Amino acid sequence: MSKKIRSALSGLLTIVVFLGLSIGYAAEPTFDEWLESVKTEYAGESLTFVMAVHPTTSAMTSMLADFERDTGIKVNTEEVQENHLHDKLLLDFVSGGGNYDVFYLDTCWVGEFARKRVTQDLTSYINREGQYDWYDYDDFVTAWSKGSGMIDNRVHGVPINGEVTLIVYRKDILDKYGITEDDLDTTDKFLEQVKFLEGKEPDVYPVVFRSRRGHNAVYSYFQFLYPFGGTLFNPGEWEPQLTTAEAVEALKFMCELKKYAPPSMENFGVEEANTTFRSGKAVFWVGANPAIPGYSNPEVSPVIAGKIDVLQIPQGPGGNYSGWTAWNLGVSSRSRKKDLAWVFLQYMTSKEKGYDYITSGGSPVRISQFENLELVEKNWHFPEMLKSLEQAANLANTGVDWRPRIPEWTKISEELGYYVAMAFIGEMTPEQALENANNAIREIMEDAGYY
Amino acid sequence: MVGIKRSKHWMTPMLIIITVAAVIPIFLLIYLSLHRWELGYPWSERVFIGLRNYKWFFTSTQELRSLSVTFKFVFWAVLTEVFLAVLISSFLYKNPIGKKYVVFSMVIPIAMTPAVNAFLWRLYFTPSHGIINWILNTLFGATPNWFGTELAFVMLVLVDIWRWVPFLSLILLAGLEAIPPEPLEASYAEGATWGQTLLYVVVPMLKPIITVGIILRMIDAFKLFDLVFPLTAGGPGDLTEVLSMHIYRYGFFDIGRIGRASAMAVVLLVIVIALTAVYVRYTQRKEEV
Repeated sequence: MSKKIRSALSGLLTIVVFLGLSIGYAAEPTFDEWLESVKTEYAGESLTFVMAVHPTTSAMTSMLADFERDTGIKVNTEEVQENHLHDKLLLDFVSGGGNYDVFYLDTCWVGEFARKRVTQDLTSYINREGQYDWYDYDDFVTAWSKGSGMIDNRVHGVPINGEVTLIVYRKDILDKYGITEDDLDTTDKFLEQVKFLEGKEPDVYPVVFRSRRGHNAVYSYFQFLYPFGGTLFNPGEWEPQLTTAEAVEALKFMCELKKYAPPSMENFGVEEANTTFRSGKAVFWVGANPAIPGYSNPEVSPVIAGKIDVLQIPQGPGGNYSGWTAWNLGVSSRSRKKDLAWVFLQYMTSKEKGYDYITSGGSPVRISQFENLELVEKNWHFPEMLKSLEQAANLANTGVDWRPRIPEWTKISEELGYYVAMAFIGEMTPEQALENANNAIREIMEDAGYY
Repeated sequence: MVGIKRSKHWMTPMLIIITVAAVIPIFLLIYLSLHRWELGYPWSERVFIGLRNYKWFFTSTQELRSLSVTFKFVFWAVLTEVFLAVLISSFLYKNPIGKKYVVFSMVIPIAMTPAVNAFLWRLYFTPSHGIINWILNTLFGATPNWFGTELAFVMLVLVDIWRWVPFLSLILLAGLEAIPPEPLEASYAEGATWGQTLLYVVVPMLKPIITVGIILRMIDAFKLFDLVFPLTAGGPGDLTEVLSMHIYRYGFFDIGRIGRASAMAVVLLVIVIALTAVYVRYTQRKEEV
C-alpha cells in the first residue's frame, strides 16, 4: 500500500473514531445538557399533574418551582383525596378528557389501569433514556420498580414513594413503662403490651390504624394476614383462601386490637390515623413509613417530634413478613403531551434530583438514597425501612404479591374491605365476614374468567 | 284535539328537552342494567345477562341492607321533620314577634350548598374537637362518638332535620296564614289549649299541605346522597349507606360495575316514580274535589 493511501486511511480512521466518540457523548447527555435540550424544545408549554393528598406530595410540590425554572414548562397541579383519585382518573379516561398528563398512581391500580389502557406504557421511554447516569433506572429498589409499577414486564408507573409496612411508636411512653422492642417482637407480645397500655396515659389510646371500609380496612388487615399464615391467593392459583383458620385468626387479632383504638376509628382512613398519631393520641401507629419525616419535624408535629421510633411488624405464628407498596408516577394514555409528561416524570424520579426530593420530605425509592450517608444521617428511619424491606422480601420469596396487581384488585379490595369493616364494627363475626368475602371474591374471579 | 294540534308547536321544544334529558338516559339506564359492563373497558366488551343484576340485587345481603337503611332514613327523617315543622309553624303563627328575623334565618340551611353543609357538620360533630361535644361536655360531661356505630345514623338524621325543618316550617306557616283565622280564634275562645288547637284544628286544616310536604320530602329523601357522601361516606361499615351512596360506590368508587349500579338505579327510580304517582294522584283528586 502506498504511503499516500496509508496516510489517508489513518486520517479516515481518526475521523471515524473521533466521530464515533462524539456521537457516543451526544447519545448520553449530562443532566444539564438534557435540561437545556428540554428547555429549547418545550419552554412555554404546560402540563397538568394530579396527585393524592399524601405526605410525600409536598416534597414534589416544593420541587415544582425548580422544574419550571430548569425546563420552562409550567405545571398545573391538582390534589385529590387518596380515596377519590382512582375514580377521578378513571372517569377522565372514560370521558376521553385527557385532562391529566401525569398522575399519582397507586400500586394496587396498576393491574387494572394497564388492562384498561388508562396508563401509558413507559417501557420504550425507559429503554431509551432510563440508563442515563443521572437517571439510572436500575438504581430503583427492585421491590418498587418491578414489584410496584411494572406489570407483565411493562412499566406503567415509575416509583416515587417507596412504602413498607411497619409500626411507629411513642418511645417516650414505652420508656416510661419499661417496654422494650423485645416485648413487642411477636403478635402475642404486641397485643399484650397494647392491653397493658390501655388507660395508662390520659387521652392517649394504645393503638391506631386505618379501618375505614374499603382499601383502608384491607391495608390494615393485610399487615397481619400474612404473619398469621393466611393469604388471599396461593401463588399461581386464584382460588381465594380467606376462610382458612389462619386468615380468620388474623382478622380476630385486628378486631381485638381495635378495642384499644380511638372510638371513632371505624371511619379512619390514612389521613385521620396519621393525624391522631401526630397529635399524640396514640402510642402505636400500625401503618407505613411515608409520614415519618413529618412526625420527626417539630414544626409539623410539635407533640411527638423527637419522641418516636419504629418497630417492624411483629412476627406472627405464620411467619415474619411485612408488606410493600409504592406510589408511582404514571402518564395518562389520553394525554396529548406524553413526551412532556415523560420529561416531568423523568425529572421528578431522577437520581439527580433524588437528594432534593428526600430532603424535602420524600420517601426513598432508590438504592443510592439508602446508601447516601448524608441522607441516612438526616433520616434516622432509613435503616428501619431496610429491615422492613427484608421482612417484605421474606414474603416475596414465597411467591406472594402483597396486594396482587391484577385488574380485579380494586373490586376485590372494595368487597373485602366491606366485610373486614363489618367485622371491625361487630356487625359480623370474623368467620362470617371472611366467608362472605371469600364468596364475593370467588364470584369476581369467576366473572373475570379465571376459572 | 284542536287544542293539542294548536299547542304541539309550543310543546315540541319541551318534549325534545325532556326526551334528551330524561327519556333517553332512562332507556340507556335500563339497557345497561341488563348487561355486565365495567367502567373503563370498551363498550364492545359489554355482555347481555338479562335480569341477573336484578336477581343479584334482591338476593344480596349488602344491597338489601342499603335499601333497608334508606327506608329507615326516610321514615325517621321525614316523620321527625314534618312533626317539628308543624310545631314550629304553629308557634310562629301564634307568636309573630320577631317573626321576620326568624323566617330570614330559616332560609339559610336550605340556601347553603348541601356538600358544604355536610362538611361543616362533620367538623361540628367531630368527637375530639367539634363544637357539639364541647357544648355537651361543658354542660353534661358527655362526649358521644357521633361517627360510631350507635350514633352515625342519628347524626345523619339530625343534619337532615336541620336542613329541611326550616323550609317545611315556612311552607306550613304560609299555609296557616292562608287559612281563615276564625276557627283558631273560636278554638281559643272555647278554652282549648295551644296543643288541643294544634291537634284538632290546625293539623286537620293543614292536612293537604302536610300530605304534599310528606310526599315531596319522601321523594327527596329516597335520593339522598349529597349529605351522606361528605359526612359519613356510608360508614361506619354500611350503617349509613343509603341506596344512592351504594349506587355511586358500585358504579364509580373503585368497583365500576356499571351494570349492577344501573340495576340499583332502576330500582330507586321505580320507588321515586311510585311516590310521584301517589303525589300526582293525590293533587288531582284534590282538584276534582
